[in-house]
Amino acid sequence: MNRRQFLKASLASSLLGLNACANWQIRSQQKAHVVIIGGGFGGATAARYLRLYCPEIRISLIEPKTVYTACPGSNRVITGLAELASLSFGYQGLNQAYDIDILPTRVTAIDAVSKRLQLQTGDHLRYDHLILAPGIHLRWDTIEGYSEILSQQFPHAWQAGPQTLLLRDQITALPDNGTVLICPPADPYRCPPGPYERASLIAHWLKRHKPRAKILILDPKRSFSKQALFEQAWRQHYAYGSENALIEWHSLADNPIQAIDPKSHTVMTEFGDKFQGDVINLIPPQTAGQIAIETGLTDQSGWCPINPLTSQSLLIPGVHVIGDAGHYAPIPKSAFAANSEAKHCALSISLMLQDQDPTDPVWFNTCYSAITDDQAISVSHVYRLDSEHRLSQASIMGGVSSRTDADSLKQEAVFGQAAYRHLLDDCFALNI
Amino acid sequence: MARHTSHTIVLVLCLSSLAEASWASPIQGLIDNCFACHRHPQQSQGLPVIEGRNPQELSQLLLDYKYGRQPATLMPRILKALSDSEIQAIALSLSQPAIPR
Repeated sequence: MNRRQFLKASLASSLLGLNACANWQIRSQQKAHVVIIGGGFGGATAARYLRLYCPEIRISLIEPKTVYTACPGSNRVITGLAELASLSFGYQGLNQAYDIDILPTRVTAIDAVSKRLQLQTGDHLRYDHLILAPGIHLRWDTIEGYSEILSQQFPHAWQAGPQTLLLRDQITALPDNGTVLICPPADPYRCPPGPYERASLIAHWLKRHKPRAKILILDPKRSFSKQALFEQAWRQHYAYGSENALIEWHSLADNPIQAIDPKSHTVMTEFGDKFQGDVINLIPPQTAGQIAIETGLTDQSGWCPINPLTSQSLLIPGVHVIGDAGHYAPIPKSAFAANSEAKHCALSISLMLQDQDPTDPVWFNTCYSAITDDQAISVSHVYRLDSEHRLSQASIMGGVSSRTDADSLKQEAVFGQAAYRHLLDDCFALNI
Repeated sequence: MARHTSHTIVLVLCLSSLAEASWASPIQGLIDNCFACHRHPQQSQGLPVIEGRNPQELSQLLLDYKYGRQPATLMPRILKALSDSEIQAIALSLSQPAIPR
């Protein structure tokens, strides 16, 4: 939809008195202003869906980066199946076709009482509703010896961009009989199946280019997302469980990695076991993004507790939190879930603007994971609140891929790629 | 897009006696989730177009997926989480989009 068509549609609805968000405006004599902090999957979706519901309100998206690089799909970049440029894009679509004000700056303080933001530019910004979608912050203080500087040598590649390319270059330069260590964090973290998709795609590349090399996954968990399907694929394609396995999975739940020695390229467990790797992909534990921590929106867990009915913070009234930063468990921290959370948040705010109660939320999550260059598995769940308005295990329905013949897995890979392009457009208005 | 805009206007006219916006229905949240994977009205990229279809046919297809009468990779898992009446309401609503996308 272009701007002209959009305005035409808006005009039609407002002439008929059905722009419900206008109720608010008549009362206050000025346009309602919704501000969104963070232009990832959650923030971008919230902006676009608010505009779909409320053609006449003012919507601002605060994001310091003018080019966003998406994390989903970046494992394909690591093994040369995709270019990073295919995951990088700006906010022109949201700005031009959906009349979203894009503010390329940072928020330095939130005054939730007077509903004002202080910006890095020195300006203040008034809001009527505020949405935080700040993503994750990587914790550098949990693995002894690790630091942000050291991530230039031992990449996490958990925020796509230069880290992704660094890991790609290290894998490409791996010795023929080299070892890759993948060290995922404990739950909860961004993209639960991500480390295992990464192992699968690196193994696929090794099988062709360096069949004597090996990947060790050193996991602080006892089990992982889509485990049975991943292990079935690894047995079939990567000799998993045999002497020649390209992937080994070690659960170190009782003896997790606690330190790294950069000099000897070694990670050490709590009881002193050592693992040496030519490439060490250390994915550190995470919390909600820095702005959420600085503004007091996080609890002891490091994530933002929310009322799932409205997505509002339990700690600072009137602030909505969506995406990875929010404590939406058992909904996983994924781009797809952030998109779904953003839609419900936008709907809730739109209803609030016309003095209506929020509707019962229904969240969807679908994650496709590549297991080879042309096969994928998926997990898909639908989440609702239970009778006491809580998010609980009881309210989950769905499941993982049940058809695992090669044709079905190839079909899932095709659908996964297509669905991802649709998701990007649904969030960022890319029109691709 | 022009087709969808005119749909919207027609629907808005139909609902103009109602006090609230046409999107403020309990089913809207469910419908919005469909567009994460079925975004493009024209370019389907291997994934079916869902807006503007015959509601009876779409409803029957979705129920066939749900009850295993029609094979599919992912839709049966999602649809088992929805009631038959939700599926029928989604199919009806998608045939007459409430908001332009």
